[in-house]
Order: sequence, then structure tokens, then C-alpha cells
Amino acid sequence: MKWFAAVLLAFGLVGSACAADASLVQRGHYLTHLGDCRACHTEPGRAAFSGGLPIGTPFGVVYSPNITPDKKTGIGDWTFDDFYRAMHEGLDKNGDYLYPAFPYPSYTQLTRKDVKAIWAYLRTVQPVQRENKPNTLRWPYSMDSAVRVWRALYFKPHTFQPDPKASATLNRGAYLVRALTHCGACHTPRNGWGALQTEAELAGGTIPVEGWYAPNITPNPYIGIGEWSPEALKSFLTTGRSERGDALGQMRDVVESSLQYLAPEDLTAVIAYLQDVPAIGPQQPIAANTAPAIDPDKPPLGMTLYGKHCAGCHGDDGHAKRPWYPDLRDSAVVLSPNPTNLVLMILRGGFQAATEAQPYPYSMPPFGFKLSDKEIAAIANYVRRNWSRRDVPQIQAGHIATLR
Amino acid sequence: MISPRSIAAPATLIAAALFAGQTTFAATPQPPDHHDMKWRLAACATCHGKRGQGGGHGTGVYPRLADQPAAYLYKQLLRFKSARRTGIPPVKIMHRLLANLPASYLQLIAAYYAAESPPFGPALPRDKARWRQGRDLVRNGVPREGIAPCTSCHGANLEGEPPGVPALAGQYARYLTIQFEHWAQGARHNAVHEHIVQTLTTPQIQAMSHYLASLRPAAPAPSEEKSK
Repeated sequence: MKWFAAVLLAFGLVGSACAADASLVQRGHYLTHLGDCRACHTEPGRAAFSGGLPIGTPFGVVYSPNITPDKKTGIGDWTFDDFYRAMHEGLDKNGDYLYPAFPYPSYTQLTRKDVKAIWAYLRTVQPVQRENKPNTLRWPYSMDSAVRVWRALYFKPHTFQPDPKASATLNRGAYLVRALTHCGACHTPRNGWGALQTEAELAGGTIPVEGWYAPNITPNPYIGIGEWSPEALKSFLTTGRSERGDALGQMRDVVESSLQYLAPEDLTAVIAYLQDVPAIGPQQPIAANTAPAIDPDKPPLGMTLYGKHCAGCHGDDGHAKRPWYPDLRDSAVVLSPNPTNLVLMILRGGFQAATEAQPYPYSMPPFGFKLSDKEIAAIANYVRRNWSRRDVPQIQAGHIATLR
Repeated sequence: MISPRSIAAPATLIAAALFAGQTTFAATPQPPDHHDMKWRLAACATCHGKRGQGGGHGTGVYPRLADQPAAYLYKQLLRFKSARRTGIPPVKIMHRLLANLPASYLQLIAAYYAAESPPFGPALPRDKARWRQGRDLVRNGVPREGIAPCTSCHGANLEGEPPGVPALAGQYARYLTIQFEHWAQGARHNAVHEHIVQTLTTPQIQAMSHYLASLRPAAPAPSEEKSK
């Protein structure tokens, strides 16, 4: 009977090893979602993680590589140590420098344990044979030495260190925001060399090439998320919709491919952390709205156009006519000191985020080819200045032209 | 249809079983009904009309989607989404609009327009010579050049052949002509149409578009006598 017991024991061991692997892979799948790896490593219409997506930077185009476990063209012949070095130090298997379009300045902070889980998950995706495309960076940025100098100035590998004085929730939130979900990659402004300006962490930045503005997400009450309720933040992050406006542009993509999968406790941690970081921006209340009252007998151009093109959905008073249409009155998109996203939305239109909870989103028509710069500026100024409590700067027609 | 999610399916059986059991959300929401779809597709209505009647600001650049076979519309939506079908700037907008939508939604959008049947607008004034030339090309093709009549695929009355072949009768002339330009430029891909555009002259293609736009489905093709 001893052999029988031995066989049973062996099966038991194999079984538990498999279960451990499975839970590691499942965890890795979750972390891969939060790191939003697939968004950059997948070209539309091509296999997941097979790379080839052009990523525009001010220095030229970087193509994301194939990270499927294909031995020839992917990372099938990498070891875990190679992968960890890429994530932690920004070096590829041969020790060559990776371009920081790959957000290793954030991923460097990931724990080795989490990188191990991501690695375990990536080993399970379908291997796809697809050659990597060479980057087309302009000289001198195309030189290895340029990256070397950049790294010497702006990058030091380090792992996230929890703050012993902060709560476990805040530490978890800090880890997620700063390392894994790399919010700062868009929401922290960059200097002329494309490096994050750490003294203005999460204070808002323009996304290179694409042009959308990643707003201030520090708890500043005037230009940040200081006046957002936790429910609004929760709804925004997981559905792309909120009483303060919808997720637009790349943020919509991030909600769809990453943030909608946030586990409830991680969502709470992210929100707690964002509400706790230093509030950057005006410390004094912004002056009251000085826009002159409108004479209804002589409606300005913006009001007339709003009534014709916008009020059908957004309401004459800026209160949306259907629950899924965004309210404009308190919208952070409308009132932002940087009007880029409002203007881009009027120009381009588009669908709201398509998530598992709302796979059939509503949409807004593009007006770019229907309305002139002057007309779009008039509408934008009307919605920004008509209902606002605070003063909001005017938009000039010339600014619209630069966003077309 | 291969979705990225299905490609990412884990390699091992254990992992597959694991993900099958992983349901982050309780249930997939009910798809909206036909009436509700209208409210969701405001972005499409600007150019294609609320009921898919097309036309768009009187330009004729934007096709009529109503009455088209759902499977044809769905296939085109997928091609816009993956940027396989491109073309003049309004077509590029299609990719931007659809890039983030799941295939299940594209199916609903296709079904919405396929089920609509708004009235056709009045036919534009007819240029008799062009109309006759167009009718001849559409109905008889050019056998010596290997060009079959349009009716051989698009239906005897040019009302389309579900599931895959679209209706041409009553489609906007400008839209039809632009499509041939797209086949010539490689912005759309179809061997039959590429052969046609390589063989025929631009005035011949414009004549076919002119004739097709004059037709109204569900009624016998207007005869030459009536047009006199």
C-alpha cells in the first residue's frame, strides 16, 4: 500500500503546484490589466500582445514590441530575470536601453512578486510570430547615448517603499497609482526632454502628439478633483462616466482596457490616495464669474448655436436630457482651465467608454466639418462661461484651428 | 471573427478553466432595443441621418445605410474599426468613432440600420445620355472586358443580395463614384471592383452611379419611356 500512498501524495503535490500556478496566473492577468500592457502592445485588428502599435512621441515614433511567448519574435526565449530587468531597469534581453515610451520609470517600482505574476500570465498568452518594427526616432534621439544621458539625469531603478506612517490603504493606492497604473505617465507634466516633472506630480499634462489634455488629478478644489465625491470618482474610473464629466480620448481607452477591472478594495485605495496627495494649483479661491448676463432678446452666437446643435441632448440649461448624456454645468471637461478636451470633443465627437457594465455606449456627433472655428469657440465659451460660478478664461477661434 | 480576448485565451487547460470561472461582472447587460438604439447613435446621425437615410448635408458623400443587409453593414463596421477600410477624410472619422466599440455593439448598430426603411428622397434631375450609358453598363456589363453586369451579384433589381452584397438602387451617386476611387487607391479591397475601375473610364463610372442613384427599390426599374 505504500506505493499507493506515494502516488496519491505525488498527485496531491502536482495538484497543489498547479493550483498555485493558476492563482499566480490569475493574479498576473489582473495586474496586466491594471498595468494596461495590452493597450500599447496590441495593434488594432491584430493578435493581443503581438506589438506593432505606433506610439507617437515628440522625438519620433516608437513601435511597441511583441511580448507574446513566441520564441523567435516575442519574448519566448527570455528568462524571468530578463523580464524583471526590463520592467525594473528598462533594459532588453541584450542589455540595450529601452525607450521610456515604455513606462519603466513607473514599473521600476513594482515588487518582484508582482512582476513574477505578470510574467506568469504573459507566458500563457497565445504565442504569435510577428517581427518587431524598428523605431523611427529622429537624430539625435535615435542614438543609444541619448537614452544613456536621459537615464543618468532622470531615471534610477527603485522599488516602491511603503510609508510606515501611512495606512495600508494609502500605501496600496500609492503603489497602484505610481507604479502599476502609471497615472503620472500622462497626468504629470513632462519637461523638454520628456521626463516627468516630479515636483508637479499629477498636476496635469498634455499627451504628446494625440493632443488630449490629462487634467490635474490632485485634490485641488478649483482645477483638480478636490470637489469630486468619492462616488463620482468611482463611477468615472470604472465606467468612464460621472456627474463631473466623461472620460475622453486616451482616458476612455484606459477605463476600457484597464481601470474597469479594478477590484473594489483597489479602487478604494486609488481614490483614497488621489484625495491624499498634495493639492497642486491655485491655493486661493478663483474670482467669481464676471461674464456679462445674457439678454435673451439678443442671444449671442454661442447661445444660438448651442440651442441648435447641443441642447437637444445636453438641455437648454446644461442639464442632460437623458441619464446617460453628460451634464455640462459642473463638468470638469467644460470648466477645465485647459479647454483642449472640450474643443476636441466638439470637433471629433465620439462614443462613451464601452465597458463590460455598459457595452452599448451613447455617442456625440463630430462637429469639426460642420462648424467654423469661430462657431466652435462661441459654443465652447457659452458652455464654459454661462453657468459657471467661477471665472473661466475665454477661448479664441485661433486656438480651435490648432486643434483641428 | 477573432477577438483579441479570444486570442489571449490562456494556453493551459487549468488556466482556461480558471478564466472561465472568472466573472468580474454579474451579468452582461441587456442589449438596448431598436428604439433605444436611436438615442445612442447620435454620432452616426449627423451624416447618415437618424434612420440611416444618408446623404449628409446634401453632399451625397454619406451612404444610405437603411435597408442594407445587416451582415454587410456589420462586415464594413469591422473593417472601419480595424482601419482596413479607409479613404477620404470622412471615412477616416469612421475608424476613430468605432475603434473602441465591441463587436457585439457593431452587430446591434448594423441590425438597427438594416431594419430601418425611411423614404427615399426625390431622384435628382436625369441626364438622359448619361443615364442610358449607365443603364447599359449596369445591366449588361462589358463582356469583352470581363466585366459582368452589376445585376449578376447585386440582384436583378439592384436591391442587394443578403447576407453579403449591398443594395445599389437609390444609393447616392457621389458615394458610389467615391467608392470606385477608393478601390483604385487601395483604400477598399475587392478584386471585382478593382478590375472594373482599372478598365472603365471615370465618365463611365459616373454614368453607372448616375443610373443607380435614379432607381427606387420595391418598384419596377423606371423605364426610359416614362423618363421622356
